[in-house]
Amino acid sequence: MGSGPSIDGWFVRLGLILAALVGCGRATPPGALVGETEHFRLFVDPDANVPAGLDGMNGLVALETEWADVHTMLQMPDGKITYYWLSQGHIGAACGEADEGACLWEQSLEIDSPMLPNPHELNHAYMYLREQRKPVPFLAEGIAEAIACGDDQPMYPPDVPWQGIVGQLESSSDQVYIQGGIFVRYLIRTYGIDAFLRYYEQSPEQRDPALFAANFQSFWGTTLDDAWTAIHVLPPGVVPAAAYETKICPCSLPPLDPAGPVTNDPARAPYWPLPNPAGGTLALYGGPSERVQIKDCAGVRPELIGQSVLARLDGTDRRYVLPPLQSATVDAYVADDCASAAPFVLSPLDNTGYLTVAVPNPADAATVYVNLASSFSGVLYGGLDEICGTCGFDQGACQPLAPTARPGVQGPLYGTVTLYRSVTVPTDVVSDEIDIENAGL
Amino acid sequence: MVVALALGAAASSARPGHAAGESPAERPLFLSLAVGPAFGYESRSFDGGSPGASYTGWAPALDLAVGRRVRRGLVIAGDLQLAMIVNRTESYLGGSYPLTDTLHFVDTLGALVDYTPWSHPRVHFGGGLGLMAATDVDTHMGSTDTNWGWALSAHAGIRRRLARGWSIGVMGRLTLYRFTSDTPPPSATSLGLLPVLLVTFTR
Repeated sequence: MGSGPSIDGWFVRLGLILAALVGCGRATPPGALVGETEHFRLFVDPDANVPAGLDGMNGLVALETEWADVHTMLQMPDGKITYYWLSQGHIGAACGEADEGACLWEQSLEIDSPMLPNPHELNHAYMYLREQRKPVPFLAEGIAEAIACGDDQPMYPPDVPWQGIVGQLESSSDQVYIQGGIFVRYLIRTYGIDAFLRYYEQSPEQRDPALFAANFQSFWGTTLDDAWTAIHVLPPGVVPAAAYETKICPCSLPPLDPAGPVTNDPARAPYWPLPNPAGGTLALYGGPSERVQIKDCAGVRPELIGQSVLARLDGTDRRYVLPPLQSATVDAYVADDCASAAPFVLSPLDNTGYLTVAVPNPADAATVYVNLASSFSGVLYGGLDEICGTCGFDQGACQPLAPTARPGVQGPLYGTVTLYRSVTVPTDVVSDEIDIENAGL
Repeated sequence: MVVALALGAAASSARPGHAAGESPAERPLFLSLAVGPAFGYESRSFDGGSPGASYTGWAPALDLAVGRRVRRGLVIAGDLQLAMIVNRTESYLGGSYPLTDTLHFVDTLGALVDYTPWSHPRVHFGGGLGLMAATDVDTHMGSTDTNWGWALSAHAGIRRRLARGWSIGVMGRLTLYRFTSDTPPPSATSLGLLPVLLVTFTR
């Protein structure tokens, strides 16, 4: 009687075969281990596109910065995420699908991404750390699209029926991402992140529109139809809020220090919350070929953009500014009377340069004064209603500019800017752009 | 499943009680295997007034019954029926929505009574009562959810004898089932009908 493998032996063999089958088709992504921190293990593909400031251990610092920031909202428990920073050409093989842009392997908590940090995949990982469950893609992709601090643009979502979206796979349509993101952000803004997380973690795991709607109504006490209408439909004449709607930024990182020159460190300061200027005006300059982008932490107000921005904000609504920044200062650059306007040194003119002035939303219209104190010569394309070499506006020494005029102007000069409240855009600040272009261009 | 089949096996292993005049070819052990298509219809209503929905879809079905012929023409058996509805379509508020990459199992386990009239030995009919499990599987996301309820069934069929005591036949069965679910809220009640057309192999 021959001696065959024991039962245990057969189980071991079966287990090995199954393990081999499961692992089949996916090789370990390329990349050298950079290091390991409390929450991340980072591998970087030699072919990856690594920008300055995120090389070496800075990549891990950037990931830990992202973790700390988002943790203020998601409160995820500690865990270790393996992050493969790959070249675009290696993503398809790493994710198992040629058209994938990035992916998370939940079981191993591994992210394969051509960018670092990748807020979308990180949000997936954070939610998986909170609770290992599988909400419908509409919600899972929605929360992944909800939180990020960057230059994402509004998506202008169509008012399509939700019934056709909540049951879809994420691969079926971009609407799962777009509408899911807007939906989740609406819930977070309306009810708060804690309530949303409670909802998310009891939500259906079946892609069933009827169940989804019944569960929504059971949890929130309002119908999904009403929520959908609130998101997509506004009174006639009002620009839909979604036209300006972008992702939510925790804004928990240290605020910008308006002390002059700014050190750009994308690993430790991927953005700066704006400091409260306490009645002063925050002057931000991005650099000769850069633009300043000021965004709303809640993601519901239009961004302020300019080569330079003079923002006299009251600080009630939190905003943040994206790098790169060259300088940040606070003074009375935007004043209600000419004599109070502090001198502002205009950045060197080029053919794309413009100065954005922003103040809290006036009742109807407000005129403010700026003192452009540097020497320059250019053509005024708009933004200034009057210009004067002195503060002689009140004496009639300076004439208003015709709306269509494009006069040559020379600095230094004083100018007035009239800001109008829009009836179609719900925002707490009004802004205008002073557009002076180099006369030689 | 194990319990019901064990009950059936226990019944079959008990000392057979031959009824007077029983045909010697009629064995005490009853064994039936059946496969065929099924069509599922299920309606779901929610507590709290949210609109309900109905679901339809085709399924392969498998049936296994093990029992005992307790007297001429009368069988009592444990019965397991498995049906796997693939990619159901949901009808909700006037629209239809395909539930892609999903499986909905309607599995019943219970006791079965089957009667073959003396006057029509090829015809048989009967009914059953038992427990049911409704399991939703999302093959894309990997989630599963099982809810429990009860099932009633009625069946009728014809069969023809083959060699060695086996018979082949065709049987129609209509299963009515009901189950409730509490998670995720709100509570919901589902009522389903599962007509099945089975090719049967009986011994």
